Amino acid sequence: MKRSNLRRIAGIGVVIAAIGALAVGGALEASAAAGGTVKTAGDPLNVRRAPTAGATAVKTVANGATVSIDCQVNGSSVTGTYGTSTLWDYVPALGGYISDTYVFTDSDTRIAPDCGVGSGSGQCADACAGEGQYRSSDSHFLVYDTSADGYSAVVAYWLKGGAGPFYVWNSGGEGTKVDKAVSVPHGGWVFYKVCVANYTTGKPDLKSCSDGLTDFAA
Amino acid sequence: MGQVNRRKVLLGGLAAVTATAASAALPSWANARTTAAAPTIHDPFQLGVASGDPLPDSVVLWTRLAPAPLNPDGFGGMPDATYAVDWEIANDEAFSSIVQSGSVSAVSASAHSVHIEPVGLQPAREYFYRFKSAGYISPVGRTRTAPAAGAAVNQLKYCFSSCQHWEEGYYHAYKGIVADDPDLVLFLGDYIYEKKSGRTAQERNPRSLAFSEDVTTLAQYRARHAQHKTDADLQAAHAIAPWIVVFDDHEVMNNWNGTTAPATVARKTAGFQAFYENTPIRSTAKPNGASIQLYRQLMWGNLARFHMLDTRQYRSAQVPDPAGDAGPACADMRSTSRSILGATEEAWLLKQFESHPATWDFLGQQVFFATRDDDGNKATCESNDSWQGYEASRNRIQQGWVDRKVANPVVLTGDVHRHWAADLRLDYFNHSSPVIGSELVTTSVTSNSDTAGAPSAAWYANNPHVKYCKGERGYVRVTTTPSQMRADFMTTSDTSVYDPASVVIKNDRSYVVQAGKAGLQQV
Repeated sequence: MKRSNLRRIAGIGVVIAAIGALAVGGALEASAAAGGTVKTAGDPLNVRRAPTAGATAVKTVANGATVSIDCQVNGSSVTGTYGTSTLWDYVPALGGYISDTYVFTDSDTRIAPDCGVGSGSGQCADACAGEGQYRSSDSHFLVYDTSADGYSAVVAYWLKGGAGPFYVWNSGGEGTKVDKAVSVPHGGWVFYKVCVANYTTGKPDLKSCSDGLTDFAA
Repeated sequence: MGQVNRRKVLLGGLAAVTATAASAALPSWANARTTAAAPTIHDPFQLGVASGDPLPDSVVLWTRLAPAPLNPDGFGGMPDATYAVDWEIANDEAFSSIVQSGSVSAVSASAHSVHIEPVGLQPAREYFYRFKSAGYISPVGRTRTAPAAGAAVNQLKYCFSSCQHWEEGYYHAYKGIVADDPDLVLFLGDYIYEKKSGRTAQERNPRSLAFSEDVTTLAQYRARHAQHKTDADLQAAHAIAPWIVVFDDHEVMNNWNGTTAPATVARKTAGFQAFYENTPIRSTAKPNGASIQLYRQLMWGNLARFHMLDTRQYRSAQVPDPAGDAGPACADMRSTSRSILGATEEAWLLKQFESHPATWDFLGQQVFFATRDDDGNKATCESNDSWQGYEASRNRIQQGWVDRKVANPVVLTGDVHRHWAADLRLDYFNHSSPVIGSELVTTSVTSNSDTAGAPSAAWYANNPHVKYCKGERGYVRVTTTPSQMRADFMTTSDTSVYDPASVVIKNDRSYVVQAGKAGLQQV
């Protein structure tokens, strides 16, 4: 697990107390989000569809806002208020990720579990020519084509039981979105990658895939 | 498949236990507080349960915690923390009569796999087992202990399989094995494949790997094992009987030893470790770096003895097979200084042959044992990867069992993706050389034989000891009694078709061997 080198805590004792509370209380349940406060130079902070600065900004969140962080994940490196880090915070209420370097969390280390805990997640194909999100609450894939590159955006996913991959295609061209329900039982896992490819009803030649992530249906 | 089957009824029961695990069927310890101060996880029993290497008083119980089995880091979604895993063995599948229970720690250094080796169990007994961790209860497995040493045994039914590339098909063979309700399952190698499917007919592959590059690191081997284990039929087959597992080459790399480009120490170390973590094998086989004690003996009362061999790790260098028609050099193939088992394992096996505690001696191993010679000309050679590439080594083993009066030796083989049945001879080019044993070769569970043509009549004339060849997917079912061994060569319908309702398992051909009378007889 990579950790940032930031110094943004009041004292070591705070860290120990926080970690101890998590361990004893079992506070890392998917529903038990951690809190943070957005801190910028004053401008609103971009909320992105996937944990990389190249991903589409889906909205902004105001400086000083309190956010509820369900999970964290390493993505592209960002230099912000609190230094440089690859850590991104997933905030379901905002529908995306914000760089942890703009969030005061009272901790220099991870305060929430790795993304893939059943609260939703998102990934980019290389350079974010395709973007995909898994919405855990109702088990939908949202697939975005963000580039006029001649390829469709596609999510490839695998399920329990040994079949896969299955695909959710977006062949609508740049700027379009496909929203598709996928059948995953309550609490069941789905491993998915976001790629681009030429559309086919057969086996596609997937390109520029993300590394892949497991999430869970709520 | 039409008959009412006790196993199917039982499996229905098992499924019910699993489905209701959160409510009515809670075991006594279900509400006990999880002791591990570790992060909450989702249901970690995504790879199923397994048992293996049965002894008269013990059988290995296995599971591996992996709530997110395909995660590329190989940890299956497990946090870097220690989790308590409770286990129970019971006389009944409802767990109303618990025989033993305990708790072990699952740690990230072994990918949160656990190998329980209980002792003091009763011989020749059916048992049920399950695990609990992080508040979740595993599926229920059924297992069996071996009969007591020397005990009279009326019958043993076992199945054996090999070669299950995940991409090249669904594991229908295991539907057949589950329906057969065997006492034992033997797996003879290529449990995983280190590489994606290389077949030309890619359109026949019904599934694709999540990570499609060749696996070389421990993380990648772990994730690859996990993906193979997501197959529901494979999990079901593990849950109905103890398995005895050996690897072949693809658990590490194609032809990883004895070639001009062998696997590195680091790659062998990673492959062996992941193999151990994902199979119900005893801690005596826990690898030490790039070394693993895989070969071993298991007994089934006075009826059967299994010599599980390792033909990969200690073999002499393969004889080069140059391009063109010349074939590998026969003088080298037959060199008496070369061995496919290595001196230590050869000596161990020959020593085993000195005693005769059981009627049947089964040699469970990887590569083709009998000679297959296309042109019937002893002056030209082929198949440098198989036992015929180590002919002197094979001669020592064959002559060894003849000299030591092993009455009923049967060699069990995988690797070649087709069913074969053959008799064994001291001289395969002398067609009146006496038969000294038989070989049963199982086809693959899924791995293809797309380019293999059926042997011609001329080929069989050159190899009259070979009785049968079938290039379809399947497994072999063996029913052994004190007087007879019967081998049923089972084939499956198209493994590229998922629909469970359309799966057909067929007994394509059967042979028997009468005890004390060498040679296959077609049924």
